[in-house]
Amino acid sequence: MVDPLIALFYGLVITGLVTLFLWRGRTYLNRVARGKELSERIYIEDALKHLFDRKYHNTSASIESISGSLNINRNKAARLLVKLETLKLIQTQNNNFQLTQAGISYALQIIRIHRLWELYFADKTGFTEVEWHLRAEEQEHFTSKDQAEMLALQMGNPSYDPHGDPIPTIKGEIPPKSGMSLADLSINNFAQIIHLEDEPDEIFSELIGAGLHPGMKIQVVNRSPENITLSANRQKIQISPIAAANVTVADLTQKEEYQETDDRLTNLAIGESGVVTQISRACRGLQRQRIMDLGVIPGTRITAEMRSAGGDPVAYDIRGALIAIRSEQANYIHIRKLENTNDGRK
Amino acid sequence: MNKPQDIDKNLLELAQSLRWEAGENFHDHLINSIYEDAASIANKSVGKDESTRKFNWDKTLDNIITNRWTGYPLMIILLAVVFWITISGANVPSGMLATLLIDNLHPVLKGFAAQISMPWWLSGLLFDGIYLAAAWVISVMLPPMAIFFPLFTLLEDFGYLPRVAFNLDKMFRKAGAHGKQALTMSMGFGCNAAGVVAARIIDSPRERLIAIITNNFALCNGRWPTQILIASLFIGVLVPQQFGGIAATGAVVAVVLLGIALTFISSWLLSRTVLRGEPSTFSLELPPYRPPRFWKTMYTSLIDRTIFVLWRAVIFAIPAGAFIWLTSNIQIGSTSIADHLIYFFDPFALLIGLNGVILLAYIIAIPANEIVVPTILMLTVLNLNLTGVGEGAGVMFELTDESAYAALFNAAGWDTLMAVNLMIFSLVHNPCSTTIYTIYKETNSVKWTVFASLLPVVMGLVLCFFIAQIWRIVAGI
Repeated sequence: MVDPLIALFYGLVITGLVTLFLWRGRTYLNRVARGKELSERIYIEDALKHLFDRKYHNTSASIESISGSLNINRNKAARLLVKLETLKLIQTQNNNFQLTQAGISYALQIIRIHRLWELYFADKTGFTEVEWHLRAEEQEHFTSKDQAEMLALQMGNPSYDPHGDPIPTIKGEIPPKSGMSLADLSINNFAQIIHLEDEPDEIFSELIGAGLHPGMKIQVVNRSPENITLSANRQKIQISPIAAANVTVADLTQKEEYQETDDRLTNLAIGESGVVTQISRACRGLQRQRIMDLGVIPGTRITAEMRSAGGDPVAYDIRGALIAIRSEQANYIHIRKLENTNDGRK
Repeated sequence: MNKPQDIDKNLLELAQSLRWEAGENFHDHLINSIYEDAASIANKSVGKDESTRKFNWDKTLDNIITNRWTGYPLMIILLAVVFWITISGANVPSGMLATLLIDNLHPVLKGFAAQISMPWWLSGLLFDGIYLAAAWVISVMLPPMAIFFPLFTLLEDFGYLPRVAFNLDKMFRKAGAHGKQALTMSMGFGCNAAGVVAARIIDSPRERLIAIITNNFALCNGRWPTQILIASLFIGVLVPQQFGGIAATGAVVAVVLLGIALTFISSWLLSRTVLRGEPSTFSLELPPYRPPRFWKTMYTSLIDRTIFVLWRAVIFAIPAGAFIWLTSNIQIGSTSIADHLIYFFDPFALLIGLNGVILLAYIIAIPANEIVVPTILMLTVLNLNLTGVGEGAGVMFELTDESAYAALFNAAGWDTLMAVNLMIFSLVHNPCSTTIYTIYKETNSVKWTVFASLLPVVMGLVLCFFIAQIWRIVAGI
C-alpha cells in the first residue's frame, strides 16, 4: 500500500493543477491558438473600428488616440497606420487620417459583426453587461460574413445593439449620429439615454454600476467639476464628467414625455396594487419575453398577494393568475401605485 | 409621372430610413397591441361573477403554508410522511414479488430448461443472467415507485408542491438554481430518471440543466437498501448494541444530507463555471388549490412515471444481465473475465479505500443501482472461490440475515473504511444507464449527457481517495 501521506500529497497537487487548468486553461489556450498573423489582422480591424468611430463622432483620430484605444505603444501604432495605407484602407494628408471607401466598408462590416454579437450575448445568453462587449470583441475577428448573416437572421435582422448603437445594414448603411453628450446637457433638462459607450471597460463598468441603461429617462439636477448628479426613477445618481461624456442622450424638450415612473414592483407592500408603466430596457432577451408573456405590459394591473416563507420571491396577482417573481426581476418592472388599494389584508 | 421602378425605389428608400426610426421597441409595441386587442375582446364577451371573492379559502391556506414559522415544519413533516409510507409500504409487495419472480419462477424456468435439455450456457445466459437481472429490477423498483409517484403527484395536483418551490426558492437562488429544483430533487429520492424527466417543469434553460445534472445527488430508492445494509453491518456495530440502530440510521441520514449539500455546492459551481452564460429567467405560477383528481392522478403517475421508468430499466437490465453472466462465466486462461477485471482494478480501488469487486460491480451493474449489492455478493463469492454460499458464477443472489452478510464481507477483508467509502461512492457515482439515457433524451445533447455522467463519478473517486488517505493517516495504518 502506498504511504497515505505521499498519496495525499500527490492527490492534492493533481487536484490543484486540474482545478487551475479548468479555471484558467481556456484563456491560455486561446492566447496560444491566436497566431501572429491573426493578431495582425485583429490590430488592423480594431484600428479601422477606431478610425470609423472617430469619424462617426466628428472627432479626429491621431497616432495617440490609436495607441490609446488599442493599448499599443506609439511606434507600433505608427507602423499600423503605414500598413493600413499600403492596404489602401486609409489616406493620410498632413497627419490627418481619412478612411477610404474600402476602409469604410471594411470597418462597417466589422462593426456590424461586433454589434450583432453584442445583441446576441445580451438577448440569448446570461452573460453580464460588461461581458457582452468583451466577448463580442473576441468573436468579431473570427466570424465570416455568412456566419454574421446567419446570426442576423437568428436575431430577426435587428437595427440596434443593446447599447443603443445602430447596427449597420448588410449594405453598410448606418444612420447619422443623433443625440448629444450627457456632459453637455444643462441643469434641470430632461433627457433619455440613447447610447452608452462601451469602451473603455472601466468607464462602462462605472456607468453600468450606476444603473444607467439605454431607454432610461433622466434629469440633470446638479453639476460640479467632480460630479454630475442625475435624478432617475426618483433616485439620485452621481457620475464623473468623464463617464458622462460617454453617455449619449436625446433631449426631451417636451417635459410631458418625462413620466415619474419611479415605483418598482418591489415597492408594493402585500395587498397593494399598481399599474405597470414600463419594463426597464435593462431587462432583455428571454427574461423580458417571459415577463411580457405573463401579460405584464404597460397598463396591466398587478396586486402583491403574498411573500414566500424565505422572504423572496413575492407572488403577484397578474391578470387573475398568481405568479411568483423574484425581486431581481420585479425590480425591472416600473409601476404607478394605486392609492387606497390596501383592503386591510396583511 | 414616375415610372413604376422609381416608385419601388422610393418606397424601398423610405422603408430603409424608417427602419432606424422604428427603434428597438417595436416588438414590445406589437405585444402590447396584441394584449390590448385580446383584452378588449375578452371584456366584451367574458362575464365575471364579482360576488364570490376569489383566493378566499386559498388565501387562508396560503397564509399557513407560506408562513415563515409554519411553512417549513409543515413541509418537512409532509415529505417525511411520504418517504415513510414509501419505504415501509414497499417492503411487503417487494418481498412478494421477489418470492414470486426469483424464488419460485426462476427455479421453474431452470427446471424447464433442464427438461428440454437446453445447453447449460444458454439456460445460464437466459435465465441466470437476463431473466434474473430483469426480475430483480422489477421486484425492487416497482413497489416503491408505485407508492411514491402517486403520492407525490397527488400533492402536486392539489397545488402544494408549487408552494414548496415558492418557499425554498431563495435557498436555491443563492446556488444559482430554481426553486422548482426542490421538487425535482424530491422526485430524485424516488428515482433519478423520473427526477430528470420532472426537470421539464423548470422553464429556464440554465436552471433546468443544473437540475438535471445534479439530480443524481438525490439518493434514489435503488440506493437506499445499499446504504441501510452497509450502515447496519458496519456503522451500527461501532457503538454499544442498544445504540446500533440509531447510529446506522444516523449514518444513512448523514449520507442523504451530504447528497443535498453536494446538490447545492455543485449547482453553485455549475452556475458560475460551465453554465455561466446560459440564459436564465424565473417565474413560478402558483395555481389555485383544487381537490386532486384521484383516478386520473393514479393513472398518469402509474403509466407516465412508474411504468415508463420501469420499462426503460428493464430494457437496460437485459443486456447487463447477459453481460454480468458472461463476464463471470467466460474464462481466459483458467480465470474468468470478472476475476481478471477484479485483479486489474484492485490496486487503484484499494488505494481509494474500495476494492476491485466494488468497482467492477458498479461498472457492470450500471443499468440499475438495485442490482449492485447482489452483483457485489456474487462477484465476492466468485472471487474468493467460496463454496456453499450463493448460487454459482454469474447468478445474483441476496442473503437472508445480517450475520451471513457480515461473514461474507469479513472473509473478503472489508473494514470500516471500505464500508464508509462504499456508502459515499454509492451516493456519488455515475447515474444508472436508465438515467443517463433519460438525460440524453431530455437535453438532446451528447455533451451534457457525458458531463452529467462523468462529473459525479469523478467527484466520487476523488472524495473516496481523500477520505481513504486521511482515514489511514488518522488511524495510523
